[in-house]
Amino acid sequence: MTPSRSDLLQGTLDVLILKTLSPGAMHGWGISQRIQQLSQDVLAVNQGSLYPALHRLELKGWIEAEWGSSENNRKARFYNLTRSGRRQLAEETESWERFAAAVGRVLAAT
Amino acid sequence: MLKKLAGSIGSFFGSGRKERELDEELAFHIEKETEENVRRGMAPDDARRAALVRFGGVAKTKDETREQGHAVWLDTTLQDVRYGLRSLRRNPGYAAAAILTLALGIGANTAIFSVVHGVLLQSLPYGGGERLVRLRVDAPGAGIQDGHFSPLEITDLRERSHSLAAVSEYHSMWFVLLGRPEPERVQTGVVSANFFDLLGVHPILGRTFLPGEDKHGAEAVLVLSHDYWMRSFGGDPAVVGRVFQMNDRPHTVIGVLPPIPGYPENNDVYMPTSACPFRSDPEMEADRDSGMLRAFGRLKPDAGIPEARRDLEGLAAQLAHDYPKSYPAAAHLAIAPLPLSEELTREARPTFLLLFGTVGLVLLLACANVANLMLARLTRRQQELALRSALGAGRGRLARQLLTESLLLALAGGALGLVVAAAGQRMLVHFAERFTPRAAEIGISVPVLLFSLAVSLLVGIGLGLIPILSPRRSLTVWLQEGRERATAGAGRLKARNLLIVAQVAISFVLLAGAGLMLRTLWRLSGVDPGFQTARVLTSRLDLNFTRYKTEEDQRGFHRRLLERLAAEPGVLSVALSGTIPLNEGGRANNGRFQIEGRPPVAADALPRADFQHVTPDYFRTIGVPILRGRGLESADRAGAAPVAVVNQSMARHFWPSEDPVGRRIRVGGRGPEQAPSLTIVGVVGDLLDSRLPTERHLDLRHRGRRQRDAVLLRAPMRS
Repeated sequence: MTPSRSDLLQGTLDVLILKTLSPGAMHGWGISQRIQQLSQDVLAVNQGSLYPALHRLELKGWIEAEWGSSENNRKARFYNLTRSGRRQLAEETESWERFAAAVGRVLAAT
Repeated sequence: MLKKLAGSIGSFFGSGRKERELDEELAFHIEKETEENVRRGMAPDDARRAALVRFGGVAKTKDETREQGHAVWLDTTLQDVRYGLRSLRRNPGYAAAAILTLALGIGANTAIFSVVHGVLLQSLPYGGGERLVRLRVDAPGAGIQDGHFSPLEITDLRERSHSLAAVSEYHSMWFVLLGRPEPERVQTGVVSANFFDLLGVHPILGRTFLPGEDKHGAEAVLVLSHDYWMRSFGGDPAVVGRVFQMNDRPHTVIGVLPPIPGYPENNDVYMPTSACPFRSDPEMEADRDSGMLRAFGRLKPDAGIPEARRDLEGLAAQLAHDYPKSYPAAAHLAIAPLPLSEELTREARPTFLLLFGTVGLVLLLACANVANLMLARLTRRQQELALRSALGAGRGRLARQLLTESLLLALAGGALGLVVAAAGQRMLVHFAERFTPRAAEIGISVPVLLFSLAVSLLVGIGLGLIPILSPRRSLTVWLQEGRERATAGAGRLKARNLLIVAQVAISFVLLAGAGLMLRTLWRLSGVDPGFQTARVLTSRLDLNFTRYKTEEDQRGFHRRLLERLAAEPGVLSVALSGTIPLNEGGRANNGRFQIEGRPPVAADALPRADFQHVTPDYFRTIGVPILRGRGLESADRAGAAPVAVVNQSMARHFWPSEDPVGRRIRVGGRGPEQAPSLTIVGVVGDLLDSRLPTERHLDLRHRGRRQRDAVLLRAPMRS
């Protein structure tokens, strides 16, 4: 069975990026791979929207970027969670869980 | 932080660095994807193609990435504004105080700028105004300062100058206009036919004068000023073509002028020179010395002010050479061009610039006050800001927030300031009228609105920067303190102290200025004019020249008038004089005189005095005491031995150790030798004529025959 791939809601991508970055710095390609992997291939990151999202998060001050070298010593741009990014992640996680739980309850009732 | 700032500035200006970085980043992504595909077993070419397909449009991604900048900026700004409004609403007292203070400061500046713009900056409301000049004539040796031209001299200017494309003459008189329900005294500008063409003024109704309409025998025509047309005819366009009687002949209205400055004077109507019985008098036209006219000129396209100055200097020298009798070498005749733009604003410029500086100081003071309020409030907000910072708001973000708030305050203040400026507009125009004929051009126009907006923005940014820049220690340290619940930092206190010093200094300057102005006013109001104005009524009297042609006719009318008025109940005394003291146009004649029995001196070294003709009861009517001898009596009429009364200053100055009563002087006329000898019969108290220290002199007055008389009445204490 091939799992169906869901498109991500805007905003949802933001929180996934923040979550992905919470263990440590990562570059764009790594982030997209990681999301796909963690969601067991259900969530495919539309790469055309990944970089705008990264840029947006950076401008909002939730993540910051710096140039470093990748696994095979190539120059790559690494993103890191800032303090306010961490706070934002906590907030969004909480509201997402509330939302998902509420939707779950409604669906379970019928 | 710095790097980030530089980055965002870079992206703002669309610099290449950010762009290159994005290119590199996307290239890295695609390579990585390609490697991954190869690892899964694709051929390198296919792997790359697959990577690109999966990525989607690279260019589109780049565009979208860039757009995030604007979206985030707009989002943050809206958020800042919302947050700022909320924070101001939570503190309405502070907001109201700050907005009102700024409204007064910005409003005052807007109002004064509207004056400066309308009067000093805007170009003249005349076509090609920069080429217009007024011609000024001086003969310092003959005591003539900014004098008047005679008709013959106007002809000379027209025919013999090389730098002037056109010359026009002007003088103003009061005539009575008949044909409306009541006879109306109208101030009449008497001008050459080319006057309005020279000024580049086009009528809004009908036409102005045609060439030849100022020649002898032309029909008498009138052009109405806009103001008079609105005032007396309610703006009725049917006025063109109507016929009114003036000076015993019909005058046809041919046109109405647009609203232009009341310059040279606020005339009600204009007529060509041929319609003025005075100016078209053959005797007047042939008399080189009967100056009564102002002259205006338009420079030729290739001539500037320096050329015109040289040209007119040469012309004056020629005239002095050709007519030595009229212009003796000792008189030093000089003719000079004055740019009309300076002429119209000469008196206003220093006053308005001073006012502009003053309101600038007022604005600074208002800003200092608001800055102080802000700093005080900031100290109270320290914890709130520290909390926001702890929750992840960056230092720049907080600064932005403060800046947004102060901009909101300043813009609200600016908007309210416009209301203040608009409310004060009428008063200001009225005030400006005393200095410049251009006052009517003052208004809140687009440049004034832009000025107001610019000032508001500047004030907003300035105020927003003060709390950011003022503490010696960085905002971060200060926020740290807030977290530790520390009290106001010493650096902030220092800033507030500095502000207070500035406030006191500016207030002091303003107070001193206001004090000086008050003192001048007080001195003016405290000046003893030497006469009593209470219960004295005055009226101007303009006889119809065509009807009262000879001096006998006029004298007869005056005698009948005085008799009738004196017989009225409630009239204590009545008199006639040439002028009304301390009134506009109230300057007495001034001339040289000679004291009989003293050693003779050269004609241009004779002493000068103001003099005027009055009827016997003048001193009693105006309340001037007779100190020695007697006043004038009804026996001192034409035909009797001529007598004079001098005032105390003159008596002290010229007869320091003698009694002037009984001495004889010769006054006026072409030369003192031909003047009649007058016996001094009395000394009266000093009377300030038009010589209050700051009283300005009306420029235009007539040196020719006496035209206007004034009636003065004294009523009893309880009438």
